[in-house]
Amino acid sequence: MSVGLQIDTSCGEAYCFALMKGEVLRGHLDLLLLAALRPRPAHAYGMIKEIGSRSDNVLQLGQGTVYPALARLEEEGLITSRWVTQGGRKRRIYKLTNKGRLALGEESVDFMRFTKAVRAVLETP
Amino acid sequence: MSRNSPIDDYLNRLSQIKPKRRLLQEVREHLLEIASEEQATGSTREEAEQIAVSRMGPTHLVLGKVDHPPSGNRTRTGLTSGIREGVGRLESLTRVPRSSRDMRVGVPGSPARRYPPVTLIFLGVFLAATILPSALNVTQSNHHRL
Repeated sequence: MSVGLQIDTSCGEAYCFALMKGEVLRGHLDLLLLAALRPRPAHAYGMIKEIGSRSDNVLQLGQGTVYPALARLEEEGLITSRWVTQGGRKRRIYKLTNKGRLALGEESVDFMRFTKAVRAVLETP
Repeated sequence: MSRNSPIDDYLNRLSQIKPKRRLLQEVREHLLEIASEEQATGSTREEAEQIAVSRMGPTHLVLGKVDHPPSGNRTRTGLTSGIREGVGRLESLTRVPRSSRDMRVGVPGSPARRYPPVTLIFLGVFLAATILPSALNVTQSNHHRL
């Protein structure tokens, strides 16, 4: 499912589920991108592939949707970027800043706490 | 006459929205990389570029204009869509951020944007306290005695 969802005309269960999934992904896009950069700097396509492979392809980000998020994160000083040439191909490589690493740590803790709470609610018979 | 490749067409459309030059170049490299991977799996160049373009999604997404897709795709009945939009707006006014960073993701950070009713109430109280008493000629406390 791509993050950049098109609004469909029929709001059946499948559509609503797709929309919810897209919204959930979009809501956590920044966190996912920061997490994808934790092990090493990467370019946009590399981050998308990293997130896909780490999640067993459950989280398939829309390729175009990462650019506004990357621009926002860079503007906030959470990541930096520069052009490099790798294997004859020009790539814009993004890297976590110290501020970004701290933000990622804090947000990860918040997210884990949130998912734990939701799970506790869901698993209560 | 030569025909533009799908990637060229896409970049032309994107450049019409006037993105930063850097973004245009980055998207171009991204598309070429997907296309090159697709070609390696046996697709023709044309097919590979088509796949790359479709995976990138509509050009407005690249610039972050995702909130209001073209109206042609929204053909729900007026009542249903009206209710949905109303609820959505109400929700956006009353949404409680999940965390400090979620306040920023997709939602402008200013408290005035996040809590407009509170801002309006403060503004109303301020106006009532400063303008209304003099306009209505209501007795005001005045410690300066002549």
